[in-house]
Amino acid sequence: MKILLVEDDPTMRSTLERALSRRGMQVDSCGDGARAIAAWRESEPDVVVLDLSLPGVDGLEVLQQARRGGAGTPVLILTARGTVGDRVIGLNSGADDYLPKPFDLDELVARLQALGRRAEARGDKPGDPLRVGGLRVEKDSGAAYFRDQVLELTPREAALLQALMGRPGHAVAKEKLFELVFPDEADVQYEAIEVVVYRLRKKLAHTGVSLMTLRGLGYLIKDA
Amino acid sequence: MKRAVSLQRYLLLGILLPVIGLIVINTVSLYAQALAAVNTAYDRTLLASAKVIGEQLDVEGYDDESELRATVPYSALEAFEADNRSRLFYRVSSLGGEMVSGFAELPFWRGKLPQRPPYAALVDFYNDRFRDEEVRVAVLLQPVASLNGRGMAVVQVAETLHLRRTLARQILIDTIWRQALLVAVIALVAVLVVQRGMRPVRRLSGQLKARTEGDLTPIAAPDAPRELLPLVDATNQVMTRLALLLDNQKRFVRDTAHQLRTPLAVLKTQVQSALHGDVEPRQALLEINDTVERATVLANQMLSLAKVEQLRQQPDAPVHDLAEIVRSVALELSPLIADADLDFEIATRTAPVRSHEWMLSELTRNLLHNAIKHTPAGGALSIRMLTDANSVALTFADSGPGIADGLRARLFQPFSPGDARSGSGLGLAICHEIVRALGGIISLENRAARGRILGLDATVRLPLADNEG
Repeated sequence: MKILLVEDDPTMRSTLERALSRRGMQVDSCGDGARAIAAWRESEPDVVVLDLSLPGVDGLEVLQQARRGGAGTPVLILTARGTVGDRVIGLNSGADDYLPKPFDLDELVARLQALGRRAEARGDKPGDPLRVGGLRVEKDSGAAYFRDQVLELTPREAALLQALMGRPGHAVAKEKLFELVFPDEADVQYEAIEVVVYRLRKKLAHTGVSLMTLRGLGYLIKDA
Repeated sequence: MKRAVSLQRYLLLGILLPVIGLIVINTVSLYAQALAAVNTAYDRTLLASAKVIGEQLDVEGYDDESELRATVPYSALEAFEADNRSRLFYRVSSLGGEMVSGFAELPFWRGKLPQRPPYAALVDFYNDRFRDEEVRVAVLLQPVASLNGRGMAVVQVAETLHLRRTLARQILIDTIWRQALLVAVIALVAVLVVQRGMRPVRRLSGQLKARTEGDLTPIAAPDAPRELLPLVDATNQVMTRLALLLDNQKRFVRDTAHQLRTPLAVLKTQVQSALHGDVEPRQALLEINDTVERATVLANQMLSLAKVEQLRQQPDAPVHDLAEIVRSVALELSPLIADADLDFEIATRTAPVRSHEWMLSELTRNLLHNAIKHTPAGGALSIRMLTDANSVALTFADSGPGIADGLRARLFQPFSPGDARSGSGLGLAICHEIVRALGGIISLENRAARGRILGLDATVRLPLADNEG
């Protein structure tokens, strides 16, 4: 994946450059807005990492100019936290994601990969399967495997599992799950979701992956 | 921009304009009165001279056939001339206007006799022209009788107006001088009094201007007039509040610097120790990472505190459903709940609260974060919401060790030592500030049964937004 890194602090820039390169990304970097615009045009990056406070042309302007120029490259904005409305400004101006400084390096890498995948998906490439522990779910078919053994799941259980595996360790609200598991059924009782959870939990019992209930809120899946 | 009203100008104009107006009216009426008095006096002299002429008339024949004769020596009139510039002229005529004696150029009187109570005789006074000069004329209808006749004579005596005019002008000038002097004296007194009256105000503003930048001590104004005391009091109250605020900020900055130095000191020690090879590099870096994490949390929390203050000053907060915000924060923090395998439960109900969304989610995030941190792995943690007509109570009930009674009040202060267990010591201070900004209350109560502490209930009570909102 080709990254354009626009960041004015030299220490931050060289550290990020090294870290991202080590993770197999190809990194071009620059420290001011004017050069960023030129580099963006020339190197055709897959994802742009953009610091907002730049000398000369500031980050938001770089972004707006690039978008006016028709560049559809996914952009992740980095900036100092604490100013009201930063987030809104960032996303309204055509950015795809936003990470306040200071951030976790792993978080940055994960977000960059997600943006890169999103760009790929637009090119009709099949997505990677979802994985938690020994569990794997194919995105297109919804087929679930535990160490290459197919798990026999009803369509509702499969829908539930896929929804939860989208963000492992993160709870999904039960209202949202209900919509995903019972998409077109109006007269199903709200509690029906609990039955599906109960059955899925039993089927996952031997996998080491557990399905946790946050009562009144939702469910999550995690590698125990 | 509107120009500031000058009290001094207002007072001066307020006093002087009416006074000057009154004096102008007074002058005009004084002059009119003087003029009337002068006219009356001179008219009387004119009448007297007419009477002298009238007495020297002779007549022959009766009534319509009467023939008047006059022998008026000029000396008879000379006695009535006031000075040598003022001349007297006369004319004696019959009732029909036939000239008998005197100056023919003096036009005959063709008026009507007015009712003049002051004069018993048949008399009138009027202005006319004689030899291109304005004259005042007295006319007297004098019955004349003799041994062989009886008739009516019209005696006119005219006097040039020169003397009257001179006198009137003199009176006018005298009056104006006197009134002008009066105005000048009043203006001087008014200016002096107003200036003197304003002196405490000027002195007070001088005192305030001369202050050094950080001087917030109360103003001492022992000689300020009673009218200024409310202003002095109000200013002193503002000063006191500012001083308190400034003290708080100074303490906050001092504490912050101290708090930020601590992780830096730890970091330095960790780095030097690692450089010496005391620990494995990986172990050292993990420890350093923890320290940096602590400093980051602290910096973020300080920004949050500043943001509460900033949002508090923004009017017109929208209405948000607290339940929705609490649920989304719980979803956001669900990985922490999952990591600790907590026995989690949440029960919410719709509660419209007027607030910036950030305040409510920051409040919830801090309290839930604390509750998760203090609940032992596998322990119970519940979020409850109760509403009544006017308020909503949001409770985070953990199953942690609770808090010591002595600490409870101090926990909401920034960097209170008791909160050290929860990290930087700003989380509860942020909550306290947010709740205060929203007009609510926050309390921490240990939940106990049979003398054993089961956990801590952190409860926030906030006013509900009005229904029309």
